[in-house]
Amino acid sequence: VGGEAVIEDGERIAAVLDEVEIRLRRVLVARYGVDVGVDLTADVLAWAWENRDRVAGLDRPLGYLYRVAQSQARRYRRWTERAPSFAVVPDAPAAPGDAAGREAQMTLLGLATLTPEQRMAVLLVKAHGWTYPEVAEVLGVPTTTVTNHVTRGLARLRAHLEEAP
Amino acid sequence: VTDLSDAELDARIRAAGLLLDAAAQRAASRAGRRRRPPRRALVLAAAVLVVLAIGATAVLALRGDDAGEDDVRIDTTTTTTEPGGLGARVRALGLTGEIVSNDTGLIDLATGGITPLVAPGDILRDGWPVAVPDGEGGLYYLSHDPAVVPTQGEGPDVFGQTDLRHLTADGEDEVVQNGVYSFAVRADGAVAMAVARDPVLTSVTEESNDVIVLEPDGTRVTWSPAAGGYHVSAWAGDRLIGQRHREDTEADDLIVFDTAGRIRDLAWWGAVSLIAPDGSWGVVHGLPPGSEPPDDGGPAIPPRILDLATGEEVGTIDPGDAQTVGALRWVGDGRAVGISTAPSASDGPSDHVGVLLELDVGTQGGEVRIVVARRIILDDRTFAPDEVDVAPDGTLLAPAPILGRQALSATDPGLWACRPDATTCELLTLPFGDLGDVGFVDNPSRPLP
Repeated sequence: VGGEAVIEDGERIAAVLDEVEIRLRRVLVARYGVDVGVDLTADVLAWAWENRDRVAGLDRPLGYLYRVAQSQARRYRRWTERAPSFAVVPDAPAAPGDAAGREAQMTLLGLATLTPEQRMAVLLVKAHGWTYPEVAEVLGVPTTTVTNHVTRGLARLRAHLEEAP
Repeated sequence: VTDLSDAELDARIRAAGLLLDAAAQRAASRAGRRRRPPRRALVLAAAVLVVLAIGATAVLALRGDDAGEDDVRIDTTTTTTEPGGLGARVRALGLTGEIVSNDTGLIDLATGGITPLVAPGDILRDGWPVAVPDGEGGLYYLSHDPAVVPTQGEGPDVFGQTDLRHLTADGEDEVVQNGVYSFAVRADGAVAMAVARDPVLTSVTEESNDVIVLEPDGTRVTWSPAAGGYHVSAWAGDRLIGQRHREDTEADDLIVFDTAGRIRDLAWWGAVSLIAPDGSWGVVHGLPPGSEPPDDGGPAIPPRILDLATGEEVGTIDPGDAQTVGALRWVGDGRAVGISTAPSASDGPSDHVGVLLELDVGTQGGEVRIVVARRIILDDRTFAPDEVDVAPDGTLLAPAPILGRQALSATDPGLWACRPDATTCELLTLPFGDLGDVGFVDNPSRPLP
């Protein structure tokens, strides 16, 4: 009976991690770009699985796992001697005539000019529809800080896009 | 592209988000790095974890009598404060003085008396004072205008409008100025305000503030030469310390207004955390003007003691064994407190623990000297706190998210409380609110060391 309970616990945690995965990946991709964001997400989920007893008791694991990711990113920095930065990685250039694809890539280039906090706030709120308090909770900052990041990020992005050829 | 509409900008961001999602999904599928052990291994692992958890509990119990640095005892139990209004929980700490609480208003902690404020909810801004005594028994405070309702969705999001209000000792409560987003009250009662050109804040509002000083005789003087990304932090004597947003680098630079229209840079990417009672010097965080941008994730920049009239360094801060000194606050009797970190000695989830530094502030040979008098090393039940506040009774309060499990979820707001005698520190949970939502009513422009 004890074994079955343990398995049930494990499956419950796996379900929680499945639910967290997409949201965490969006946060980390917005922060670090596709390559590092996806790798970090995988590393953090592996860590969460290995530490599932700790994660099991969390009401809102996303913010916690974001902090774990930040810690992992610092280690990444030590390995690579450089800070992981937002890499714009559309893995194939937009096809000729694909105006929408080219526009989206231009927007990504603009997003790369924002600070990491601005970029996360703009993408999570405006692209993924998160509320301002949701973003604040994950980033561990007041809601007013998120609104500030969005306002400044949108202004900078707009300026970049309006100046683009 | 010229004149991108708000709707077009939103659409382009959504498209970029979809592109990122698709690229991330492809990368994740390629990597296939999710690792999960098979079910049998899970049973064994769980059994091992149970044994380890029992062992860890025993070790924790054994460590319970360990003293912290310099005989400061870190209480290894965690107290959960009772549910209810935030003010009730703060009163449960036994603090005295006045606080402004989001859910109740102005609370006198000694009597429990509550003065409702017009709209105190969600107004407390990171690092800015929201309620300052007027020196005559009243209070200046920031309040959301309840007529401006926040919205989110298509087009610009509306965040709200903040007004500066004055609650007098007689109980009269009136708007001083609409659209104020930071303010500072000088010793003689003059009020400096960052006043937005467009009082309603939205996601597309240009940050365009004027710095206006309302003199005690009612005269209004504009101190900023032109509207810009200005905020005010505190008065240093007759000088006004503030910040100015630099758009090319997204930096918030620390500036000083010597008088109306005369501005100097003090530090780039800067802030001030301690001002001498006579306003002559301040502890400044940030880089000298003209510096290259700070390295993202690089080592912390040590604060400097600057003459606020000249910008020259006039003293030293010796952090002792600490890595650096974070934001400082006066605690009285020529002492300040700051925050730092130390590597964690345990293999717990956080690789650093918080350290509270008690610092002596003095002058030697014409130079200001700030030295560590004592360190209080917290334990790894929380992440290292980012800041420390001082209650009017001298209790040091450092909010930090609690690590752990079950009732102590990592997102539970925690609060380190070190009593004025500084021989004990205890960790409290605040299950339905964050002490970051509480502001003690004091005036950083009039420190009383």
